[in-house]
Formats: sequence, structure tokens, C-alpha cells
Amino acid sequence: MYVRHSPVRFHLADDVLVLVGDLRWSITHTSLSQEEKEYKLSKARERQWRAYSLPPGVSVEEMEEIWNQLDFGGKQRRLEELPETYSGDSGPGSPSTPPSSVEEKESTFDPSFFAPPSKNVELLRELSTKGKADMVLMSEMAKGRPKLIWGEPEAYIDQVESDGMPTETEVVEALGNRYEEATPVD
Amino acid sequence: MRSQLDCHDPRLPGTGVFDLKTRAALPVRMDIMNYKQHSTYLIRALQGRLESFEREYHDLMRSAFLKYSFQARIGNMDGILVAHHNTARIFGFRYIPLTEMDACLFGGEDRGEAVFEKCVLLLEEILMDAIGTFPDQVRFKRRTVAPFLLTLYKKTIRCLFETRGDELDVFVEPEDHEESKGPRPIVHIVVQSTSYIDGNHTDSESAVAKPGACT
Repeated sequence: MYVRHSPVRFHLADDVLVLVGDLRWSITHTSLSQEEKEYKLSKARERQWRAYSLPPGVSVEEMEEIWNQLDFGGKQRRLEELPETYSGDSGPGSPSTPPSSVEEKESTFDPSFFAPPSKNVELLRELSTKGKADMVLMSEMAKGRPKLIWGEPEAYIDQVESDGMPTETEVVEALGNRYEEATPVD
Repeated sequence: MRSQLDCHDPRLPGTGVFDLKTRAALPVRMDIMNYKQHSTYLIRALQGRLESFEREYHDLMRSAFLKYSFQARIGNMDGILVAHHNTARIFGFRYIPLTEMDACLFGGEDRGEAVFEKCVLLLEEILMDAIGTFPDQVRFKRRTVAPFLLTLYKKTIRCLFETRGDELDVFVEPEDHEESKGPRPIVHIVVQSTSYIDGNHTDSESAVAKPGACT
């Protein structure tokens, strides 16, 4: 920590008051009771919580089934498609450990995750519905038309020698080494 | 800290490294469980409150530029390439240099670096303090390559941050706790900061805006 290029750091009892350049800050531990801290924490969680909107025509009960089938990114599907000999990171040929299936997965569904859609969400749903008709119309109009190319990309040059700048390969290698050094190990 | 490096183009200034971001359109973000219906939402115009690039850019400024700019700085990148989409269709690409994000966030192209440095310094202080609250929960060692880089083993603490007014509340709890030992202990940390220009108290906006004030 520096103030006008001179190192500075000092502590005051349980508080930490640090002066850095033209910014001062204090870090203080409150002496509230456990109950008061629990209450403040729960209120903070409530303020940060954003419930999902229920999709149209779906009840909370039906949502549980949808929730349990969600597979964003296809991770679960890929696991299920792996051969039975798959054993995770231990490599091929090692003792088989079948991946967990959807049925085995414990449900994390909580009805409190969901709330009826707000007026804003309802408006967005209307716009999306209108967009569907326009998308169909646009694709109908585009049928049979030749592909339109507005410009050709510039030739990609990896080697920049004229101005003494490093090449892409050199830059990527240099950055890669730096981040490998900074990567936590163990 | 580390930041994944997505792309490189030698025509860009500096390292030439930039990040690639996919950005779902407004209704997909706001109503994620109904994303299939919103795969037909269209961006129809450059400007407008809805269905426009202007709205998408406005939301980027308000909710994404700060984290994008921090990520770009950590990776020594020049900027980000954003692909706007509705999960079914890509509406367009936009390259946003770090200087543009800084201008949108702080009102000037040369102000982001000082903010980033101050935020990282303060975060380090808070995290070191948080670690110290439950010393038996966390074991760490210092690495010589980066004095503040901590390698955490086995046990974890969880922190919830919330800014309220001029204060930052941080609630720290041990991740592992046996219920038989009573309620999960909580440490409530309050962080307050004050800006100065030439020794005089000022608001943070003025401090950020003054060239060289936060150095």
C-alpha cells in the first residue's frame, strides 16, 4: 500500500483503517448478536433473490418435472452417451464407474424458485410471439434468394515483422506462460 | 487471479487479445425458464425501448460492462466481441474496446484503470480479513510468484456481499458446519470508504473524474 509512493499500512484495534493514495477505507467487525446477524443475512439474501417466472400454462407441480429434466449445455446427455467403460478422469481401460443418470440425480427443485410472471415479462412474451410470425415471413421471403456477401474478410496475418511487434504465436505463448505461473496448484 | 484468453488479432492495439461474449436478448435473460418461446424475439431496430440494439447496449452498460472490463483488464485484453442472439438466431456482432466500456462506466476512457486497481486492493483486504475470521476453516500458503495469491485447501468459507448506501456489508460463514455444535457462526463485516482530492473529502464520482487523483 502506498501514499504518494511511500508504503503505508496501519491497524487500529479490531478495525483496519488503510490509507491508499486518495482513498481511505475501514473494515470493521460488528458486535451484533448471532440472532441479529442471522436476521440481517436472511434479509440480504431476500433482497438478492430473483424468482424465475413460470412459463405459460405450466403449474408449479409441472415445473418440477421440467426442472428435473433441464440439461443446459447437454452435459447430462453427453454423460449418458458415453460408453459404459467410461471412468471419468482415470482414463480408458481403468475400472468402470458408470456416470450418474437423470434418475439417480437428487432433485434440487424448490417451489419458492418460481413466481407468476410480472407485467414486464408478459409484455416480452407478447413481443416474442409476434416475432415468431415475422420470422416465418422473413424466411419465406428469403427462400430461393442467393446468399448475399457484403464484404470479404481481410487476409489474416500472423507474422507482423515490419514494425517489430511480436507475432500472435509469441504473444499467446507469453501470456500462456504467465497465466500458468499464476494458476493455483494442488 | 486469472482470465481466460479467447481470441487474438494482431490488428488490435496492445496484446491484441480480446474476449468473445454471447449475449442473449432481453426476454431470454429476464425469463430464462421460457427461453424457447423467446427464441423468436427479434431485434428490429437500432434505437428504441424494446427490440433494439440500443436497449441491448443499455443493459450491457448497466449489468455487464463492469465485470467485462475487469475480466479484460485481468487478461490484459483490448476489448470484447459481443454476439447478440435469441438462442436461435444471431442478430449481429459488436466489438467493444476497453476504452469504450470505461467511457460508458466512468465518463472517461482513462478512468477505469484506477478504479480497477482500487477495487482489487480493497477486495484483497476484505478477503484477507474474511479468511482471518475462521482461521481453523481455511489453510493457505503464499506463493512466491504472487504474494496475494492464496491456495485454499479442503475447507471453504462463504461470503455474501451487499452494498447499502455508502457501506458494504459482508457476511462470512464457514461452509462446513455441524448442526450439533449450534447455529452456524456468522461474522458481519462493514466496509466504508471515503475519497479525497488534495486532502479534501469528496464524492467518489469526483475522485474518479479528476485526472491523476486516484493514483
